[in-house]
Amino acid sequence: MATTPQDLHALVQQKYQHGFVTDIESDTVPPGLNEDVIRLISAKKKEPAFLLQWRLKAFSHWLTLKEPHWAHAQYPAIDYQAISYYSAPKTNRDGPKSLADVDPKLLATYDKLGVPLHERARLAGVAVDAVFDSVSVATTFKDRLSKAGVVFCPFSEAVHSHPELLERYLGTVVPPGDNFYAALNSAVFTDGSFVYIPKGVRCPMELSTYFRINAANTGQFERTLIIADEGSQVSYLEGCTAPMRDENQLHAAVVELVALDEANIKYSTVQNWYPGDENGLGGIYNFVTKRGECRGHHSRISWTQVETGSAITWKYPSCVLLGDHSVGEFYSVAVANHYQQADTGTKMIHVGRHTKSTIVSKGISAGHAHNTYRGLVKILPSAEGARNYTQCDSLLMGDQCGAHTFPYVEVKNPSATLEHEATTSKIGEDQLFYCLSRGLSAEDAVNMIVSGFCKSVFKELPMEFAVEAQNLLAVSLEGSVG
Amino acid sequence: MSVSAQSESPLARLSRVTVPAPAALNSALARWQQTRLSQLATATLPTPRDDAWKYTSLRSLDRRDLSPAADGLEAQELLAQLPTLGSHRLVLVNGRLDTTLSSPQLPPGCTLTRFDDYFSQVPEALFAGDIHLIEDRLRYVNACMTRDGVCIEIAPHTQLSEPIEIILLATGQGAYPRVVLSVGEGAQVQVLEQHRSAANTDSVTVQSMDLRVAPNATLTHTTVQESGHQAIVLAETRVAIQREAHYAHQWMALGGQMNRLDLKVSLEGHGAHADLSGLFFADGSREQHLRTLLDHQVAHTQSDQRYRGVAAGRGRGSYDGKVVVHKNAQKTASSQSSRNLLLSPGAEINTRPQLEIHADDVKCSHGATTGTLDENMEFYLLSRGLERSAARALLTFAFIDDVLKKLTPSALRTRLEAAVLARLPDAAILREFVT
Repeated sequence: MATTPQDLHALVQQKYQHGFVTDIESDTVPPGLNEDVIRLISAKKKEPAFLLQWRLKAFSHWLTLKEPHWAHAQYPAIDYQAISYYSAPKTNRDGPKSLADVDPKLLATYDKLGVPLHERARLAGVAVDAVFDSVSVATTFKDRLSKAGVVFCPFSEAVHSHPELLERYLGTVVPPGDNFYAALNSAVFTDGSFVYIPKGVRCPMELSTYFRINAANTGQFERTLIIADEGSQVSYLEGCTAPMRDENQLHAAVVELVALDEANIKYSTVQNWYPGDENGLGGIYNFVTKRGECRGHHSRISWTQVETGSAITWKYPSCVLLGDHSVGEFYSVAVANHYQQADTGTKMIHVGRHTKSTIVSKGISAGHAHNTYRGLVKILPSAEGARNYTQCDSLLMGDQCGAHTFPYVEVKNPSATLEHEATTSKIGEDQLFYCLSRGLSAEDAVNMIVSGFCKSVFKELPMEFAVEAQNLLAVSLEGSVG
Repeated sequence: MSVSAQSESPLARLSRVTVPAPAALNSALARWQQTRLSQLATATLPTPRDDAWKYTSLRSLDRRDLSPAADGLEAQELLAQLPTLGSHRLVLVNGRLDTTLSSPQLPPGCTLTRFDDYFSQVPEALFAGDIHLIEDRLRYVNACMTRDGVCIEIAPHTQLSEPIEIILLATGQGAYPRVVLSVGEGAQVQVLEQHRSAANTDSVTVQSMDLRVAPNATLTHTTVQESGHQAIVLAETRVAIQREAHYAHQWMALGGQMNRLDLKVSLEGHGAHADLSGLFFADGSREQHLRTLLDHQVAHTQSDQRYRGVAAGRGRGSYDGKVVVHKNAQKTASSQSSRNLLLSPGAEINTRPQLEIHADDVKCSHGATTGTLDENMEFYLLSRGLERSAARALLTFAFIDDVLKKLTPSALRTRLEAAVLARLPDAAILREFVT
């Protein structure tokens, strides 16, 4: 190969580009977790009583749970008492009303990250509900959305403006006691996004939230709830970056999607949190519970994710297909480099008749990283005529990394049809040779082959995201192959 | 049975069984067992919460007596149902070698040692490496209870023209067979392992088998499971394949109430090749479970797995296969395929084809499908005048026969084909098509 070991070394050593800390005073609760902290969070958010009770119940259940360790990942024990569970920017504590009210320092941070907040937001046609640490600081395009009847607001605002919707749907997809991290999130979640699309409405623009973890030692516990009422349609984008620091940060989000009759939800994620340095030091622990329920007939939920960041990813966006003829989809590209560990996949639970699901997962491992696909396809006896197609491919770059596939296929209905296929291989020398012979550099050749490998997932992403994802992938993998 | 006895683990009950030590058995094995047996008192059986037992529930063992069965009188009768497939036969009744029913001697180049004697020479035979009471529970149980197992050694460069039959008969409660087979360098051997049990007997077999295939040797191993409908068989087979050696295994799981095989194959030398195939047929309320582990330890090794499964009635089946490729095992080639047919609403099939890969220059793939019969094929047969049930049975037979027809010797193939036909609906009509 044309590249020399020195070149490769330089490329692999490439530092995380989004690593910086914005210096703003934070209103942070001392580390530790107990009922008082939860009461404090609830009081700070001026939450109604039902929500406080809900949190406390989740907390008491969390105390009975054991931290799960079945994922294919190794990391030092997490001290949950050493984490601060609330952090809000001190300036504009009562929440900015418009962009002009937003702390310019924050806006500068978003600028560095390339978040299209002011003009760029308009140009991109994206409404951004940016979460900076735990409090949403700016929401745009509200007018246009409210004209269509769409509710898109920070979770803490929805608590006051739409308590009836929250009470009806919160925790119905991911119950507070679902798993260790979901219970923790339910007890201490600070903010997130809330979306409601009314009957028959096609959301006029793509909804987007940029999450960002900032203050040291604060875990980030967002809660997202999206409800698509009968016949509605929405596409939701989520993207993340985080500043560089040495200690690990815990991130345990919960995302709940509800699709009623003939509703369509598309949820896209580009995750680029700090993955730790080249020695595996630092990085985000990303333990997320994402689940959608297709409750109505002919409803559809589609998850698309590009996972390039985090030291450890533990994430299984799932679909429960309850309604007849409902459809679940999962498209994923997961890249792990250096000492990253990714254990990700999906669950498709078929309950309704003639339900369909598609899973396409592409895992790329480089350096000393481990990348695991773990998926479940379950056909219950009631799921007459259910259909699933699963494809999970792994690409290995370097002899120190690992790629693992753990699919579970459980079928209890004879009319179901399931197909599962998977391959694991490295980039073919013949493919590389061909590209080199056409005058491409080794770097470009690898990028081209990798993006070809991931193409079936990228084409599912909204256009703006597809571009970002492609760039992320190139940066994450540059120089991994020699 | 009292309530307390029911809630007690069957292993705890077993720990109190005093195994009548035959006079000749005042041996190293008996002493080893006496010191280990008490550990079972606190052990419990694996449950579906253990990942390795996710799809196999052993709750039915709670109501069973696991104490070792006495010599069975029905053994001769059971044996009579099995036409000989060669002239070399070893018969283990309830896990113990029965010399009167076995062939007087094995062919030249083959040495038979009683396991008890073998153990006194090779004490690590029971547990080469570590024993983990939790992970290897059933192997541990077998080690604590086994008596009169067999150890067969095939001398280097031996070529056998006829297969060696190992017949395992269960006529009572617990059977704990132990088989060690060592194939010498360059030898070529076929082994037929056949399981039968007495009808209407709640037998439980916990079996352990160790196979070693020396460099350049070839071992062809066929397991035929035709136990009675009350039999539970939990078998573990460990295979070590050395340089340029070839191991082929066919798993024919047709009988038993619950049948499980854990097949753990380590590819230890360059050029080692494991070729695994087989089928299960879970009709009635039968359960058939297969778990394979292919451990690619060195470079240039190959493994292939091709399994088919059929579940009908309230039958349940599972295939849980795992391929592990170690860090330095470059140039590994591995394929896994599991195709399953689900025929009725109460039936269930679970598959889990897993890959764990720590090397980069490998070609590994797996595929799994589960579904029902092809509508077009069914329609074609209906258009030719067949009744629906006969058409479905014929297609099911064709699916199964794809595996059966590759079996050798042909006498075994014919016998199993007839056995499968007899269990399908409209067998008489099918026979007209299948001659």
